[in-house]
Amino acid sequence: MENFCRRILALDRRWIFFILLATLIFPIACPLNLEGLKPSTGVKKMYDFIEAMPEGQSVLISFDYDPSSAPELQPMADAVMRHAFRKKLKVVVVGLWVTGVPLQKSTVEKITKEAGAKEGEDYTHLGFKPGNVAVISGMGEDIYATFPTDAKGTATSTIPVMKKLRRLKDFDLVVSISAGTPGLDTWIAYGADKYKFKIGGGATAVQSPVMSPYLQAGQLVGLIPAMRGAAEYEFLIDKPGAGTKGMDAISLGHYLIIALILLGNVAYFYTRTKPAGGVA
Amino acid sequence: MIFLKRQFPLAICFVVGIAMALQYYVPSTWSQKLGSQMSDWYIVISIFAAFLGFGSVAHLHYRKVSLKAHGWGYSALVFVGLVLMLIVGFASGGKQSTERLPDEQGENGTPEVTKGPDGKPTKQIERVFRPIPDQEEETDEMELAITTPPVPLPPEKDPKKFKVLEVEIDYAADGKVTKAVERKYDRKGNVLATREREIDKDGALVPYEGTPTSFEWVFRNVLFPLQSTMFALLGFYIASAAFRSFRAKSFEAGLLLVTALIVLIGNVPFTNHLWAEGLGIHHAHGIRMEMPDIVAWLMGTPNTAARRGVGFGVALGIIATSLKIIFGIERGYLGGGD
Repeated sequence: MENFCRRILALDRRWIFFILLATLIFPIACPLNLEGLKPSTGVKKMYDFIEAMPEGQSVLISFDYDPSSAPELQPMADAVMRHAFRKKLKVVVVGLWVTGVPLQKSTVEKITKEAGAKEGEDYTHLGFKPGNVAVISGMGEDIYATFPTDAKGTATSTIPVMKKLRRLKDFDLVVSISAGTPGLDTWIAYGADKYKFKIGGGATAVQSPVMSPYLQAGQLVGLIPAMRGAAEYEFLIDKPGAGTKGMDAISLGHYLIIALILLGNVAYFYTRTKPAGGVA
Repeated sequence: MIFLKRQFPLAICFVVGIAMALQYYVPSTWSQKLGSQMSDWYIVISIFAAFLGFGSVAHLHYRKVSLKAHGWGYSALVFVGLVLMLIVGFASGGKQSTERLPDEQGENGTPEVTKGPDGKPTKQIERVFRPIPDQEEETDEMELAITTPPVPLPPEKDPKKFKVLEVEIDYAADGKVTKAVERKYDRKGNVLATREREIDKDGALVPYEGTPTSFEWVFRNVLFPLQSTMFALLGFYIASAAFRSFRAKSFEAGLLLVTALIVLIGNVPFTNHLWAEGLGIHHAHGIRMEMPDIVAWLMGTPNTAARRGVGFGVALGIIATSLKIIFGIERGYLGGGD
């Protein structure tokens, strides 16, 4: 037993990598459809807010992430956009991360095609603008000046969906799908607090706890945390997607890490009082 | 020279810092205009900063390559990546896919239809009039004034305000499309681009999705997998690190370990299912005790309280540092030397 514990403590990390890889691949190849998904408070609030928006209201969705966080955040971006189009809201898409621009474009194309939304009338894609905080401040004052054209070069002021959307406060909701800075916290500090508009969003698992004070304080109308939040949102809109598919892998990955931590501690306590190499 | 290197930047920093701090709290029109103007300046300066960053990266890696320092091969790869992306970016015009003329935003004109003796269309020209942004219009006003624009625009449309996109379709006697050509005009009526549209075997136009550019290809096939891989690797390192370092070596470490395990296990939906359905635990002493409730309490009460404390501390630190920079006490950003 002691030898086993010492071997566990000295386990080569490549074994851990291999076991984790096998644990993650298995449910992706053979979905387990594990039960128990229950929407958390932040996700429910976000869903309820959009669900209560009357047809024709406007939502600005900011894609504040890049490919590194796409597996975690893309499912929630898809889910929120699907929900917005299902509610027949007017959707405007922007982004603050330059490497996220192609993600915006492909998401807009995929979801609008699926929803049968018409460019210019139901949605528009304004694209990316460098400047982080300055872009948010600029949009707070005058969107037509900050984004003179949309991503395709059409004058923003002439796009039907933008006719009544001159400033950030003209939007009924702003949603930031955020992987860091600039992201949800930037939108809150430099946008929502100053220009007075409703904001909600989604964040990575690392960023979500940082955002929870904003949710508690009511500065966020809702918060979708990581892939689990995306899966919960997909559950609420009754459209399972990449978030739901990824939950099996994430669940098994969590269980494996818990098992490894427990195993490491058992081995640690068992060998703690015994001198190394000694035989009882 | 000392004035330009020291006093002048300090003066700019002081004036701009104070102006922007006041601007935030003054809701008047001129204050908003000032904020907007400064935002534009910020964007312009940040673009210059990108060039500075480019120069800095190039200088650092050039030194490593020239000195054949440890890992200089990776530095050489940085240059390969830089140059390749510049070429690809310029070649693609920064676009991800070629424009999709039929889907362009703008006003659809009435199609010009030429009919044959049997009354069936032999040719049709569809046009989209795309409004030109105001800024572009101002830029080229002088040039337009001396040009007679042969733009195929209806007489009521001001050629300064519209770009024209056109699709010319030829039909066979059986109504099938034999040829379709797209043209894009500039505001002076010059053809900027011509492209032949694809026709399917039934003689109908294939919906044009736009052709991905080399820029899009690099993004999809190089940047996307590289960034995703780098981030995914973190998961493996976290698993290994958790196994090695998450040990209850003291009371505090034990407390952290137990809390982390509860949050970890509680974040798995299947645990909730086992807890509620398997063990049948829903309430204890009149309090909801489902797994998500326990996790929500841990995350929402002690964790958020700690987060708030950290947040206040960071904010106060930022304010103090900002004031030191504005008043010239902290001068590290000016760099060293005389």
